[in-house]
Amino acid sequence: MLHKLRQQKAYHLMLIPSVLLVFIFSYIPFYGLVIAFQKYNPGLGFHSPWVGWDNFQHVFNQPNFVRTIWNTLYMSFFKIIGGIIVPVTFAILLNEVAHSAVKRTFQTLVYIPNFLSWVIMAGILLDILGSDGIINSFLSVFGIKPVSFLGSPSIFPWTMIVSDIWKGFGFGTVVYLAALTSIDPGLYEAALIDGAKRWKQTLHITLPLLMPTIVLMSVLSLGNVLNAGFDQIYNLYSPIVYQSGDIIDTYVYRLGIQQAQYSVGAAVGLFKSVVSCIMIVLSYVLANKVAGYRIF
Amino acid sequence: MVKIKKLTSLVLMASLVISLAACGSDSSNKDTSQSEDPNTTSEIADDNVDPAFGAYKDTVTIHTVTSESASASYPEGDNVTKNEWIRDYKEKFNINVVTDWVSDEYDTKLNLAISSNQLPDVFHVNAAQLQQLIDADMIYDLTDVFDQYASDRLKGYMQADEDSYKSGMRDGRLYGIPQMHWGLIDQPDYIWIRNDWKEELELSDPKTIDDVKNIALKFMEKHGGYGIAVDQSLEYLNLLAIAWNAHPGVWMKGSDGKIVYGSVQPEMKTALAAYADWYKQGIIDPDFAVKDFAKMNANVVAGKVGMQPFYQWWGYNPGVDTVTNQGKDAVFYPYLIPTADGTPATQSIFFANGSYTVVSKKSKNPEAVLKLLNYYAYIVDEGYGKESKEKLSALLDKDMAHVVGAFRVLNPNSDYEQFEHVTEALKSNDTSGLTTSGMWQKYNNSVDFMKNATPSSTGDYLQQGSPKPAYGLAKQVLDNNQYIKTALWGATPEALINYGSTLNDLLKEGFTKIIMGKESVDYFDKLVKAWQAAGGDEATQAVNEAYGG
Repeated sequence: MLHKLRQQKAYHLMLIPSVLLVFIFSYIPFYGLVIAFQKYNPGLGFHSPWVGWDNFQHVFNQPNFVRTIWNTLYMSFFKIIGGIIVPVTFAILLNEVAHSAVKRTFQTLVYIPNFLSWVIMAGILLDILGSDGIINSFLSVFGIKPVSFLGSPSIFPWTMIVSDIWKGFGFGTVVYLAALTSIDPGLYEAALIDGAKRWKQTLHITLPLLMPTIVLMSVLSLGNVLNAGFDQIYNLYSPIVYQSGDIIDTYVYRLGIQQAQYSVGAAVGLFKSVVSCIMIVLSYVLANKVAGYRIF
Repeated sequence: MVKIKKLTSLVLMASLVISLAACGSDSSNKDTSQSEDPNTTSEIADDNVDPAFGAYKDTVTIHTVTSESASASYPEGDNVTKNEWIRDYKEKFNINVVTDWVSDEYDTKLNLAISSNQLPDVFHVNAAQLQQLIDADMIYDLTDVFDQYASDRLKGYMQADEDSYKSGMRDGRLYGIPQMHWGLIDQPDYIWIRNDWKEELELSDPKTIDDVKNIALKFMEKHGGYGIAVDQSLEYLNLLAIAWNAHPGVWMKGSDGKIVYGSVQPEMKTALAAYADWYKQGIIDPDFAVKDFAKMNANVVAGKVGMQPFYQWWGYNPGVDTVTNQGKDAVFYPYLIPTADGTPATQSIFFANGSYTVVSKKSKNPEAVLKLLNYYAYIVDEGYGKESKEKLSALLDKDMAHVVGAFRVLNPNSDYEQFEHVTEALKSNDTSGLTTSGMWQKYNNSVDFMKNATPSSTGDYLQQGSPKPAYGLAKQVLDNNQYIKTALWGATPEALINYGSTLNDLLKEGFTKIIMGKESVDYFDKLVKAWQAAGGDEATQAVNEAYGG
């Protein structure tokens, strides 16, 4: 052990600056969590009076807070599932395209929405999805009554899920495409000799070899299970869809942040971090146990 | 290898020192501030002949912070930290004003400055920040300084709105100088009706709330679409609630003398029943629930709708765009919101003072800010005739009057007096009564709109100069006492702040469902119970403790 350390001294030294940065900017700020248990006054700083679990109690006693947890889980669950299936499928299909210019064009096209902020996207979506927008005009050709994509509590979460997947799947596609290029072509040739057609090849070569990347991406995204997308929902929701569209972040924003209630914000942030941390550990252990995949 | 090692240890050392220094400065500053705060004013007092307007012998430097003023346009080379005002401060008072930072996220950035104890000398804060700063003992007790240095005019402002003045005090001591407001005259609400449509159909002015509904129906018959433009916040729709004697958002005296919340009173149920009926008839925008402020106005500007419940500033936004797109005749005129039986409705008046000028306890010259406030009040109210036209124009025109951040204080009577003088001048064509540059601006823009139909003058014209000026109706409301004031006149109790906007959101969600017919009107009773349980009762009690009796 010690011998090994001495051997790799140069590497460890090179590691120090980044470890130091992480320590200063990610670990020291942990101390700030104390304000979740204080009645924070910016003037008093961390010497604000202690209030125990009052901030947590205040938030959890709000009658509408519980439904926001459910809404958050509901939307982020489908966003995560769709966020895996769609880009994997698309990447595999795109990989089959022989013409490299076409392939690159599509890859770039689906990646573009990823770079637009939700503020801009929301403006566009409000126009497209309105009762006299493009989609409803299109539907009316078939005699379908205008659908209130953003004003109906039962449809709103799905509008969020679909638009979020649409906006984000370009990034996943690029990642999976990169993983696909690293698959040894010799495997396909061997399979071809054994008589495996495209479908069989995909099933028995491509997917298993993509699995580590898929597991990695899912584990990473599970950490976000309590972030159902504040930017997106805040810019698109309205009081009429609070019952199904209000998520933890938007609720806490209205409860506390607007009025600079830092303690409440910190309390909810801590709650979310703890749950997310448990989710990450759990999913990692599960991925290791069930599928035998490890990241480290 | 050795070199690398040395370098790393150097970097490590440096970062350690920096982080230690950052932690250390915090506590050391605090100590000095506590030991040196008493009697810093005495030595300066005899320096000056005139405490209110006299210049310092030696240059005094004060630090401030500010936010960008989006509408102001500066001469070449100037900006919010370097402009005519800042130069005047130096020239007239020998006060060197240094701006530490400028931010669009002023409140957030200021909170950071407060928590890291890096306060500038003079800055402006909101009501919540004022309370926190007093709690933390970080700002100067300005009581004596104000008495000694404030000009008579500035003191007059405070007398004109004593409630606001008192809201800057705690236990009888003044900590924050309220920056005041334009006056209660800008608060009454109206139903704005597109004039060319109204004349084309030869409709008379609305006398009852049913007339309002009928005008909307006539407009829809003729021009299609819906009748009244409102948005998802319900803020604009609820301006009409006073027609049924409901006062949403107002904390008002109930029948038993206790303070109650207007949004959960039975009158609100009547108003909601009427809205639901209007929605069913297509009078209220069928898409209102997903429209924000800009989307609400888009159809007004596009000429698709001819009625909108709105504040006195309709002419500025969406008025300017409406005239640009639809022409001069498409202006909307304001009408007082009538009740069912034809009497004018009782208007709701809210607490108007939003910000306070405060001085850090560490400041060496807490009185300097008063000279600058005096100067601002003097320029705005008395400058006309005493200062050159060029000077005033440089200080006030093109929204330069709004760039001074903490050094601004408004005359709470200004709009009322201004309106009286402007109407008089327009009537008589005699401009001798126009004594402030504000009056001249409103007068000139009103004349400009009548002559040239300049879109950018629409706001001033509809507010003061039109045949049916909004302020004319507002003056009537104030003169006849046709209003109730909210009991929440000053700082918001903490119990209420703790709920953020969630209590109102609960009502907003429920009200929207009732209006859209997704719930029956009787759902209101259930909603009120839910509101009470969610914290409404606690908030009501807190407001009663703070402002009752």
